[in-house]
Amino acid sequence: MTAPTSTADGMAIGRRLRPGRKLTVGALVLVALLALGPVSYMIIESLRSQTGSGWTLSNWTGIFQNLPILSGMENSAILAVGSSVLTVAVTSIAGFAFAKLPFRGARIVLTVIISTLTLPLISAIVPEYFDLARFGLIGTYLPTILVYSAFNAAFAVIFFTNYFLSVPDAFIENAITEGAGYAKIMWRIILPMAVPALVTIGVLDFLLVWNDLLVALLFLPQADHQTASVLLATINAGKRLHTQAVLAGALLSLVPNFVVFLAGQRYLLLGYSLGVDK
Amino acid sequence: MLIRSERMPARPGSRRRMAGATVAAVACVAGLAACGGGGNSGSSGQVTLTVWQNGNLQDTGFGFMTQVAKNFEKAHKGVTIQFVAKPQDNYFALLQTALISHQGPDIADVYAGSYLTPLIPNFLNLNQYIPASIRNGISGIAYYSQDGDTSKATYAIPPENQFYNMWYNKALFAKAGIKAPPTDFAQMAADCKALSAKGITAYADGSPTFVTPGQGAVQDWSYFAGAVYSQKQWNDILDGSIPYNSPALVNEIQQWANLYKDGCASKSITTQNSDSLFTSGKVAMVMNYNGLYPTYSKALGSNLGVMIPPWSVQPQHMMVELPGAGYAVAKSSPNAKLASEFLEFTITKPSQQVEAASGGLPVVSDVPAVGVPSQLLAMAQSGKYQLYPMFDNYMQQDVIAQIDNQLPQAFIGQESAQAALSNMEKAFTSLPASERQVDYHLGGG
Amino acid sequence: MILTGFGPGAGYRRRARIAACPCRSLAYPWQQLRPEGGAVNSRPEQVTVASPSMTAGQPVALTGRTGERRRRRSGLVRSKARAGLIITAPVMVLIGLLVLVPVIQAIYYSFTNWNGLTATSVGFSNFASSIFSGPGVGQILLNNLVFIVSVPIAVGIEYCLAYALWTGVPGRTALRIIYFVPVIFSWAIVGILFRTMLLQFAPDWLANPVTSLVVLVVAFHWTTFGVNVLIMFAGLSTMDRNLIEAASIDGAGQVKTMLRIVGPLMLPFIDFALITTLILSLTSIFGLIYAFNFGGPGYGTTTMEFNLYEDGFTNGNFGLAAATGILLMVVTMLVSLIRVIPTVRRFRAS
Repeated sequence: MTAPTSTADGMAIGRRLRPGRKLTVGALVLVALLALGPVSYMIIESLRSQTGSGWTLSNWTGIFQNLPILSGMENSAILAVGSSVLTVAVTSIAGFAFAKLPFRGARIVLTVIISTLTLPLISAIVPEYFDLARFGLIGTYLPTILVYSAFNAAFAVIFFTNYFLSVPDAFIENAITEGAGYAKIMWRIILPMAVPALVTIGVLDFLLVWNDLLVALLFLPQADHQTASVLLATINAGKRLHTQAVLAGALLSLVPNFVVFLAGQRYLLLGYSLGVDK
Repeated sequence: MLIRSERMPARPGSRRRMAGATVAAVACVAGLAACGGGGNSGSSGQVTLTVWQNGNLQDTGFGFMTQVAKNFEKAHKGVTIQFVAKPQDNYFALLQTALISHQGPDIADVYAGSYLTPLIPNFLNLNQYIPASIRNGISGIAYYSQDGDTSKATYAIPPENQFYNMWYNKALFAKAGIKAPPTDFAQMAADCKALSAKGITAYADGSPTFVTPGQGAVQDWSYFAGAVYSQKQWNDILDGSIPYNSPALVNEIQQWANLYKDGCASKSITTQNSDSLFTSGKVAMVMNYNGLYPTYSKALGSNLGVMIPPWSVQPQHMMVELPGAGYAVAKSSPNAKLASEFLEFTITKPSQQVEAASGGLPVVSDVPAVGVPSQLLAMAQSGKYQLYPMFDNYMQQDVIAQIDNQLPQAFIGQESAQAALSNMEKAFTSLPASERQVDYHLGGG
Repeated sequence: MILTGFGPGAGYRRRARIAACPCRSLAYPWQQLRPEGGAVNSRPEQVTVASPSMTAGQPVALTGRTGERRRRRSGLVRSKARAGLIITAPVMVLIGLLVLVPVIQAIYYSFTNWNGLTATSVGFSNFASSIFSGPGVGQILLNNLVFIVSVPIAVGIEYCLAYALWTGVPGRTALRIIYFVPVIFSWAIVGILFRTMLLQFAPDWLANPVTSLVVLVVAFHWTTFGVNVLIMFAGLSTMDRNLIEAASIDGAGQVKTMLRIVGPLMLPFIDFALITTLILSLTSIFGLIYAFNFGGPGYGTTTMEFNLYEDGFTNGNFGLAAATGILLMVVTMLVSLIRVIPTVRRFRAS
């Protein structure tokens, strides 16, 4: 059989599949419309005049006067970037160590870390809040970043451990015996090799933190420390904003998410298969 | 007391979000601008008194406090009074922790009752600095005193009196031929019919900014409980001897819900704004406290009338009066004496006159109120009505949460009155015994 | 908003899974060099061929899994161990202090009446209140149940979508990206969006507990379906395409192939999607509920997770909130375990 049976990305091509093709494609497109429908609604509404008739750009041109969305996005960025950088930094090297630098009790530690995946944030949030409050740390960025990283770390550690387990030891052994220090090995050799993994975790954690509401709501209560999420969620409690203005603000706050997602999306497929297959 | 939400029609948020939690959270870390540290007795005699305000001062109330503060500053050179607005969600949580860690303000805005009780250990007994002769005549000082007796100890000074009442549009009443506001459920239903016949919606409840239907059922709640029980019996409700789903209370809620069922109230509770429906003349009656006087009088002028909610089977015999917010002095404040002086200043005649001029209700008897709210004062002083405080100020948070969660559901018929009140009762009985043994000696009982 | 509960199943599965399916891993540059794999737990260096450049004193590497204990700990091993310990210390401290400690505290406080300052013991009454006797529990548990029931249905549909994409549809990459767009929305924005749409097109639905819940569940699945499609698509991509060819030659219809032939092989991925979505719905949609209708009307859209926030941070009943948190944790663990056990058995058998 010489006809191609798969495309370059492993897609199956079957000659027998054609009859139902139209229906399948139709269904897929319908789903795509359902996915984009609400998004289009947002965009369309944001262009509608607040008085209800006609179209206008005023919701966008006046966006910064309507609501402090810029400040909100700054706070979100501080948390999201800070947390994803911290998580990637701490867990990637830990993953490398678990994979390549065994120490006594590493297995136990890894087991414990894996089992913390079953500990949801909501179960720990109340004592977490008071632990930080006791030391006067509510309302500051760094402890909040640490909380986010702590709960995203387990998955990332497992992910990186898997990733580095696929790296043959030969690479590392050679480097070690050639006298390179571990720091140098990691920096020069391992991390460049792990770029897809770093990007995957970085993107995922960025999105997780940017999109979170609970931690930001509780741990950064001051008006000038509110993240975009908190701002938008509590907006009805504050100024009486017309929905069009709110939607414009929401769309703006989604822009960084889109950018980050698009930048990292080709790595996400790799990421998911790694996370699941192992 | 969820007065603050009424005070801020522009900034309501869900009632449930705004219930003050008696819990700890630190908001202050050195360096945060919003953190009013315990004042400072700095060099060159400059003193700043920090006052934490629950919500935004501009939105909450008549704005007289800023003027009073300015007057105090004029009289005391070198003293600055700084009002710091704190977010309403979590206000009491923030306050509690700030006080414990000695990073709180000199003066804090507090609600009476169960909001104040857990904070008392942090507050100064003001009897130390404010003489009895001044304290004794203040309306509502009992609610901020130990065991309701200011001679025992006083923990906060309420500079402003408040009533919870209904407002009505005189012109619309006249149009429907209604001579006097209704005083019980039956009359309310009759007046509704008269108004509906003229195409006027009788009553509005609800607000799109409240995520659950209902403008603030806590206000109605005091009237339900007061219509069928005396203040002394309120103590029995609070300790569980009388259940929240007693037949009398169920009947009250049922009668209230019947109004909605019979078309007395505007229907779209999630999307409407009762305040604007009233000010635009679309509905004849609305429930809200006296703080809405400036807003409503601006819109309706001489057509604005006050009435007492007719949520009673018998002709209404009660009204709810409670100076909702008091100001307390933190024990840890280095300027405790000066802070107490300021609080005393707020209840002197000149300050109270400033308040009356702004439309607020004074707490001293020799300063008359102005405008429509003075009618409320007159009613209160007439002796015709029994004066009750706001009930929710004395209830446990878990139970208070049910008021806004459940009662509006009963109102619009989504739930039976029995089910709604049973959830309130459940919230109460689920509390540990220590929480249920409360003793506020309401009504002297 | 994605992946918070991502891994429990994956975590456990990792221990048990021995590659035995006709799967083809995505090509990494070094995979041709990879030694024959043993179980994932093996210490890789144990299977490395001793390199001549290793210093003397290195014991000869033993093949197979065991052996670490039999070896003398050479200098190199010790230095590796030391480095390993130092390098993993930060993450250990981070997780230990900020995850484990609070959870242990939560267990303690769940048996108390705690107002943030003082905690007095109350035995199991918080748990009773959370499950039986608290206000609105019937509705709350029902809401959780509705979510739970909706997940397998949704995952089933998502599998079909992933399969359809995999069978070679033009524009599949674009479609995948489109499906993923809702995923990047924050829960708060999704809540606001659906709330706004309802207020505009069907305002009374928000006042009705049944319709509110339905829309909430729809909003949840609208947000998460892209992730699950991606997961299962990733899994399908590791499948041997010859299977499909073989099946179609044998006369199997497309649906049959999808369900009977490929389906069983895809179970790890389907399980993964099921577990993570289930746990997500139980523990991580606070923002959605908060922004959509704050748990209302009444308790109509309140789940246990949201009620935890209400009990704790709105009502100040922190012991009760801690107890609810522990219950959620137990459910999460059970859900992970339930799916893992058949997986473990599956691979023990193979």
